[in-house]
Amino acid sequence: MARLVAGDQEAVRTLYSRFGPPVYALGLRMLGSSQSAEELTQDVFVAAWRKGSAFDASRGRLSTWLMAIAHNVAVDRLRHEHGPSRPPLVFVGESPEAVPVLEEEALVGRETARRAMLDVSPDERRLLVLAYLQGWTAREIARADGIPLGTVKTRLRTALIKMRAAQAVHARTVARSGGETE
Amino acid sequence: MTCLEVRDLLAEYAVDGLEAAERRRVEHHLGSCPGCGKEVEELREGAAAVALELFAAPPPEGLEDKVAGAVGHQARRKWLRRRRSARVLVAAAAAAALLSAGAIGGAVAMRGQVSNLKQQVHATRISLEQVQSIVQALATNARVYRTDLNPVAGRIADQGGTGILFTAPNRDDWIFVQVLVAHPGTGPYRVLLEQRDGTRVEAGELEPAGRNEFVLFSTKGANLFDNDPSQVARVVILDPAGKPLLEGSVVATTAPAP
Repeated sequence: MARLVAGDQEAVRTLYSRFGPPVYALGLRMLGSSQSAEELTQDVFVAAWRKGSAFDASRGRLSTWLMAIAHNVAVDRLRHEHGPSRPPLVFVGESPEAVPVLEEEALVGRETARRAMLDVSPDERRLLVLAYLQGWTAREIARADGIPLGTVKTRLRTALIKMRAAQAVHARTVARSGGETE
Repeated sequence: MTCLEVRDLLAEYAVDGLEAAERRRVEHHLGSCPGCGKEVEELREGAAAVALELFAAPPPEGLEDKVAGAVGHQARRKWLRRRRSARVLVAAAAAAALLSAGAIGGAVAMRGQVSNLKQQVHATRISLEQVQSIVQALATNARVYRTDLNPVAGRIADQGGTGILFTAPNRDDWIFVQVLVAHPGTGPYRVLLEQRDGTRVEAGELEPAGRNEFVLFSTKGANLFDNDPSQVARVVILDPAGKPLLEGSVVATTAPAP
C-alpha cells in the first residue's frame, strides 16, 4: 500500500490485476455503459491512491475497502447522471457471462462471492441488487414494495450479514481446496 | 447520535444509501466509536461480496494502462504542487525576513542609532539569520550555507552584506544575497560563486531594494552549485565596472535544535 501511495506503477498494476475486473464489472452493472465503467475504474484507482494512507489492514480487508470506494464513486455518478430515473434494472445472472482471464486470487474471491450470493433467498438477492447495484434508498424500496421502512432496513441488514457469513464459509472451503482469498 | 440511532442506519450506510447530511452524522459517530466501526466493516464485507460476484464482462484491453497512467499523472501533479509550495514557503520566509529587516532598520533609525552603513549591514545579518532558521525548520534534509560579505582591499569600509545558499534533495537549489553599498552606481552589481577549483559561476544580478540596498533571490540554482554548495568557496560581488567590491567565504550552518 505504501508503494501505491508513492505512485509506484508496479503497485498500481498489481492492485489492478486483483481488483480491476470487479471494479469494472460493478461500473458496467451500475452505470450501464463500458465508457462509464472505464471512467469509474480510473476514478476508483486514483481515489485509492489518494486515500491509501488511510487504509488500515487491522480494521478490514483490502477488498472491502476498495469495493466500498468503488461503490461510493459509482453511486455518486449514478445519482449525478441519472437522478431519480436510473438505468434499467439488471438482475445478477441475467447478463451473458464472458469469462475474463483473472489472477488466481481474484478467481477465488469471485467464486466465494458467487456461492454466497446463491445462499441468500431470492427476495434478499433482489433487495441487495436494488439497494447495492441500483442505488435505491431504503425509503424508495419501501414505497415501491408497499412495506414499512423499518422492514426494509431489517431485511437489508440481514441480507448483508448473511452474505458476509456465507462468503466466509465458502472462502474456507475454497481455500481448503487449493487457494487463499486474501 | 447514539449507538442505537447509528446502528439503525448502518446497513443503508454500508450500501451508500444515506443522504449526504445523514451520512456525515453517521461518519462523525464512527470516528469515535470502535463498536459501530466494527459493525459497519462487517456489513461492508457483505456488500463487497455482492460486487465481487460480478464478473459480467472482462475489462477492455488497455484499461490497465489507462489506470496506471491516471494514477501516475495525479502522483506527478501532487509532487509538482508540493515542490511549488515548498518554493513559495521559502520565498515567503525570505520576504518575511526582509520585512523584518526593514522593521529592525526602521526601529533603530527611530532611535537615531543608524549613523552608518556598518549598523545597517549588521541588521541585515541578523535578519538573514532569521531566514536561515526558518528555511532550516521548513526544509528537513536541507543543507544551508552562509556567507558574510565584506569589502575587498581598497574599497570603502563599512559596506557589506550577507548571503545564504540552499540545497535539498529533489528541490532546486537557490541563493539569496543582500548587500549594502556606500555609493551605488548605475548598472548591475553581479554575484559570482567561486568554486574551490578556482572556476567562477555567475549567480545573477542584484536588484535595487532601497537607497543603498541590493538583493538577489535566484532559484536557477540547479546549475549554480550542482547540489553541492560545499564546493563553493567564496561569493564575490562585482561592481558595475566589473571589479570586485565585496567578498566572503562560504561556511556550512548547523540546523536549529528541534
